[in-house]
Amino acid sequence: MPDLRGNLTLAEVLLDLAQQPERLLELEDTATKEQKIALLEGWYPEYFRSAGRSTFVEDNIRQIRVIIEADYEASPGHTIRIMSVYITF
Amino acid sequence: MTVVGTGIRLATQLTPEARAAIERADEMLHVAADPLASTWLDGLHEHARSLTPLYDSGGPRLEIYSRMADEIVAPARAGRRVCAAFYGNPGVFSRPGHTAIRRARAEGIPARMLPAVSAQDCLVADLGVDPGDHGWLSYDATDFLLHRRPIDAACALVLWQIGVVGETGAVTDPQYRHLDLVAERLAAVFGTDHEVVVYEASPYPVASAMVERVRIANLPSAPMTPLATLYVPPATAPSVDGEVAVRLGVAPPS
Repeated sequence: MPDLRGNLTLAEVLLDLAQQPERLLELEDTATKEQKIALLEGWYPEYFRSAGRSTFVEDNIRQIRVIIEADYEASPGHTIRIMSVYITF
Repeated sequence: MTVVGTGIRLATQLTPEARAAIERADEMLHVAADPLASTWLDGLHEHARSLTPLYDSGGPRLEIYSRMADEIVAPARAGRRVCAAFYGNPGVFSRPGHTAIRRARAEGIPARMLPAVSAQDCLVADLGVDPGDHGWLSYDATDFLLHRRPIDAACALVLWQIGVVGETGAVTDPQYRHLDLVAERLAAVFGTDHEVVVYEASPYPVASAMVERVRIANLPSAPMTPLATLYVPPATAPSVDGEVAVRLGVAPPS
């Protein structure tokens, strides 16, 4: 896991959330993006206090990937994984 | 020995039988698409180990796949229960799992692969398309160009690894080159105005899939990611073979 450095990282939030099906279902059943963010803010106040809401407002896998890779880059012993290419020729 | 897939979306697409195979194993080896998934997989088993460092050697890809298969088979040869987990479907665009199973069986070691959710399965769900509606051609993007694979304007087309066309090795930062060659080839059959979809299934529980709709003419400058897939919907209706329709006893559409 990344170094906590006193704050939750986005990677840790997503990892925790992904393993809580009841929370995922609750998010699915929530109508607006603003309400979804409010739910997330209630579950992970520590993350939102340090990182703000922008990650979830954008809801963009490219942006989330950049943040996660930065989290890992900042933690000791972790490197960014290289892209695997399947070779067919 | 069991080879399983983890699906695309973090932690949520692992099937119960795959999870059971992981839990029953003495050793668990894995290849994930990103560090977050790798962290999750490390937490699933006391003796989990990532095989992705094998990519770091930078050697020929086929040799790397072969070494991955060796790593998977070796503990099974010693009588240990092994589970190898790959992201997506372990048998789709993933050679080491197939190779490991063939080698294990050749040595009399029981081995099986469990099916899992692939990027294509996510594409079907997210785009609301059905391979049964128009037929479905599916190629690796480089293979498609290099071998001039046949395409049909009346049939849907999926091009995997569109973000790494022409890449022959591991990459950290794809350059998205050669998309002009793909566009050129597609335009000849579908036309430059035909709309296609640059797609990537979301690996994260809070984010939607990437769905970028662009005309073929604009494909070279389309938003792209390393794991993107291109979906090309059919542009025309299929023609009916009247003679076959008669022999089948089905009425051709008027």
